[in-house]
Amino acid sequence: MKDLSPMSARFTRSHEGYVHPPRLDAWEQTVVGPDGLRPSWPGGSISGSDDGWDDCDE
Amino acid sequence: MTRVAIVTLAGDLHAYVISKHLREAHDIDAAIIASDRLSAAGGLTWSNVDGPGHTLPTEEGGTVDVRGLDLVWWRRCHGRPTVPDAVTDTQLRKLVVKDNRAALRGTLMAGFSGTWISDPYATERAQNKLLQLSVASAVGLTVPRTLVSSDPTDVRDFTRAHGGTVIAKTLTGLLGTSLQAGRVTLDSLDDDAEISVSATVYQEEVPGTDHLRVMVFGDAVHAARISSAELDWRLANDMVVEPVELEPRLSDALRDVTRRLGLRMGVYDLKVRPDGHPVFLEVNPQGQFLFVEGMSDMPLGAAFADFVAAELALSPRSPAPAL
Repeated sequence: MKDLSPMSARFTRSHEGYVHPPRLDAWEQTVVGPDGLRPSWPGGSISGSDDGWDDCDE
Repeated sequence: MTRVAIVTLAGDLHAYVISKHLREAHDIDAAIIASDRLSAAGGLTWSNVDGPGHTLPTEEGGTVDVRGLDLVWWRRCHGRPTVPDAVTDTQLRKLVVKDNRAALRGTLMAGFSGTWISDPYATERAQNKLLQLSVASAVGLTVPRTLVSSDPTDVRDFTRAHGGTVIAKTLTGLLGTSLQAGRVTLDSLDDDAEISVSATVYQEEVPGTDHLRVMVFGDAVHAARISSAELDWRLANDMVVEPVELEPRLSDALRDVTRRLGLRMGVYDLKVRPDGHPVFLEVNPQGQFLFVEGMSDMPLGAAFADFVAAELALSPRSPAPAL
C-alpha cells in the first residue's frame, strides 16, 4: 500500500485479512475454464468503484 | 462482420464473459480493444486521405475498422498502459501513453457513429460524486448529508453537528490502491494541515448492514442485496449477496439519474436504513457487476449481453455527414 500520509491517518486502506470469496473463485473457474485466461478485475477490486477509473498516469 | 467493440484493459474478465455471451446467445462478434496495450501493438490508423482504414488493434492481434461498428462499450480507457522498455525517457513514455490515448479517442470520435455504452464524456462527467449527489437528490432519492471540503473549521463543524463521528471517503479512486470509506471522529480532526491537504468527502453515517448494488442496463434494472457488517463491503469477508426486487419508484428514480447523467448504464451503490428506506451513495458509470453473478448466481452477464443486443437493434448509425 502506498503511504498517503497525512491523509493515511484518516482512511483504512488495507487488503490485510481479505480473502477472495471461494464462491467467486469457483465461478471464475467455470467461466474461463481451468486453462482459460487469468481473470482480471481491473485495479484488483471486484467492485470497480475504487479502481482508479480516471487514474491517467502510466 | 464485427459490429461491436469493447474498449477496456487487457485481460478483462467482463469483456471476455460478455463477448462470449454475445457470440453464443446472439451470434454477435465483439472485438476487444485493450486500451492499455496500444503502444507497439500497431494497427491504430486514421487518415483523411483515401487508402488507410480507420482502425484500432484488437486484443487478438487483428484490427477493426471503426466505421463498420454499430456499438462501442466504453468500459475502461485508463489503467497502466505498457510502453516498450526501449523508450527510457520518463517524459517520452508519458507522451507515448497520451498520444496513443488521444489517437484511440480521436479515431472513434471521428469515425464511429453508432451507439455508445456510454458516451466517453458523459461517463467522465458522471464520475464526479458532487454531481452524482446533486442529480440523485434532484430526482427525489434520499442522499446522505454531505460536506466536501478542505477547510478545517467547516470539517470540524460538520462533524460536531453529526454527533462527532462521520464517514470520510475520497472523491476519486486510485489505481492499485484500495481506498475504503472510514469513520472519523472529532477528536481525530485536530490537525489543520492534514485536513487542508485535500478536499475530502465527509458524510453522515447511514446505519444498517444491508447494501444494494443495482445494475441499470438501459431500462432494465437488476438489484442485489449485499449484507455485511462492514462499513465498506468491498473487502468484507462476511459478504452475502442475493437478488432483490426494488420498489418501482426506486427503479424509476435510478433510471432517471442514469438518463440525466447522459449514461446508458450505471452501477449503483445504496444503503438500506434499519427502517427499510434506501439511501443513495454513488453511481459507478462503468462499475463491475459480474462479482454479483459469481456471488449470487444472478445471470447478469447474459442480461448485459441482452442489453447490448437490444441497443444494437436500435442503433442509429448513420452514414458519414455530407459536407
